[in-house]
Amino acid sequence: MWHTVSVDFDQVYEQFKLPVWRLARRLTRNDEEALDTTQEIFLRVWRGLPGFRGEAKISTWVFQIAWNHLRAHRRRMGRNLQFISEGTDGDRELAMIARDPHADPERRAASVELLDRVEDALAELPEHYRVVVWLRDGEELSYREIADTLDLPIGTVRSRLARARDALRRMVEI
Amino acid sequence: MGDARVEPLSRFIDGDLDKAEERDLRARLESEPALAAELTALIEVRRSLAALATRERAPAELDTLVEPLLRGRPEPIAVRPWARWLATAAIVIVGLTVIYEVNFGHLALKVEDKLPRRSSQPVLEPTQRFALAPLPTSSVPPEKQLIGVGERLLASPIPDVEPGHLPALEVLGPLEEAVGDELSPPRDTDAGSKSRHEGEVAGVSAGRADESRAQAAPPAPPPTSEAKLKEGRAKSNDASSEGAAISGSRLWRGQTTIGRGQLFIFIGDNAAWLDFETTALCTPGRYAVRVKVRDGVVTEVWPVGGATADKTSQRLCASQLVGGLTIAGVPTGEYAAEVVVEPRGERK
Repeated sequence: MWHTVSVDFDQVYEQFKLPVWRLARRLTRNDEEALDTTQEIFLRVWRGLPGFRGEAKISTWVFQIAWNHLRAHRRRMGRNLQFISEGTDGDRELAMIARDPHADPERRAASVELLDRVEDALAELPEHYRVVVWLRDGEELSYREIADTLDLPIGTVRSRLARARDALRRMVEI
Repeated sequence: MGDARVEPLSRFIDGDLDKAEERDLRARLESEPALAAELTALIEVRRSLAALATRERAPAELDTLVEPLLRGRPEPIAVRPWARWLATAAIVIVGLTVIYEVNFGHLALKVEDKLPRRSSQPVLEPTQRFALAPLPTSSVPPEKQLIGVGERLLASPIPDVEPGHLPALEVLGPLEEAVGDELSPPRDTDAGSKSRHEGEVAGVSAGRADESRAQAAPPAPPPTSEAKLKEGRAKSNDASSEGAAISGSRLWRGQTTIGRGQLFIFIGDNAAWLDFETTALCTPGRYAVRVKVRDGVVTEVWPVGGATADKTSQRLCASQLVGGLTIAGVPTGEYAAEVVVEPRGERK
C-alpha cells in the first residue's frame, strides 16, 4: 500500500539549495560543475518527491540523492576537476564579522587566512574523507544521518571523521 | 596521531562518548597537555569548517535554472491499475488525433505551401513526426518521465532524420575556437533590463509576434549560414547602441558562459536573431537543435546529440531563448535547425 508524505518542492528547494550547492562545490571543486550538478540534483528531488514516504528524514533523503548523483557525475567525468575558489574578500570579512563581531582586526584577518587554508586543505582530502567531515562539520548532520546518507556503518563514519579532522589539523598546521 | 588517540578526541567534540569514556578522556587531558593541545586544534578545525559553510551563498543562476521546476507541481506517482488503462487510452486518443491532424487537419500542408517556389527559397516541409510524452501515471519509471516545462528541455533526442533539402549540421556543442578575433566584449549597458530585439536576416522577418518589430531590411541573402550570421550580427549592432566599439577583443577568449549576447537561428534558408539578456548560463557556440514551429513561432526546442545535450544549463538556455521566437516563412512543422550563441559585440 502506498503511503506518501506531502512535501512541497518549493520548501525543500529553499531549505536545501544552499547545503546541496555547498556539497556539490566541495565534491566537484568547480563552480560551473557545481551549478549544473546542483540543478540536476533538484530535478531528481523534484521527480522523486511524490514518492517520498517519510521513511527517512527529508535531509537524509536529499543528501542521499545529492551524494549518489555527485558520485555518478564524478564517474562520468573520469577526472579530477580543478578547485576554483569563490567568494570575495568582502564576503569573507562579512562572514567573519557576523560570526565574531567583537574580534579585533588582526585576529579577524588571521581567521580569514585560516579559513582559506582550511578550505584549500579540505579540497586536497580524498573524497571519502572530505564528504564525511563536510557533512558533519559543514552541514552538521548527525553520525546516523551521515551513515544513512553515505550507506556506511556508523563506526566507519566515526573513524573517517576522526582521520579527516586530524589530517586537516596537520595540513593547516593549527 | 593514531586512530586510537584521535578518535576519542573527535567523538568528544561531538558529544559521542559515553559517560565512562568521557571521564577517562577528561582525566587524560588533565595529565597530558599535548593531548589537550590536539583537542584544541581539532575544535578549531571544526569551527573553521562551520564558518566556511556560513560564508558561502548559492549563486543567483541556480534559482533561474530550477525555476521551471518550481512552476510545475508534480502529482504523486503512485501507480494505480486504473491509471495505467487511462494512460493507455489517452495515448491512443492522442495518437489518432495526431494522425487525423497530419492528414486532414490544419497541420496538413496548405495549397500555397505546395506551389512551386523560387529555387533560391526552397520549400520547407515538416517532417510530421511527433514525440508523445507519457502521462504521469504511465509505467515509465519516474526518473524517465517527462515533466512540464522540463519535458521540452530534457526529452530524449528525437531520432535525427534530416529533411533531405536541409543542410547537414556539422558542429555540435560549443565552438572550440575563440571568437575574440572578430568580436569585442559587450559594453555593460542597460543592465537589469532584458532586451529582446527582433530583426530581419537574409530577407526573412524574424521576431516575437507579441513584440514590436525592429530594424530596417538588411542586405540580400548571403549563401551560407556563416555569412548570414555576420549579416545579422552587423545589423544588430547597427540598429542598437549596445554593441558600440570597444577594444580588447581577446577578452572573450576563455570565457565560458554569458548572460547576454546574440542568438541566431537558422532553419534552411530562413533565419532569425535576437539580442538576449538572461540570468541563465549560456555557452557561446553553435548548436544543433530540432524545433517545432507553429504559425511562424518556435514552440518547442530539443538539443540533438553532442555534448550540449548533456548540459542541463544549455538545454534550459536554448529553450528560454529560442522558444517563442518568430521565424517567418517557415510553415508549421518540425525541423532541424542550427542555433548560434555569441557574445554581443561589434566587429572590429
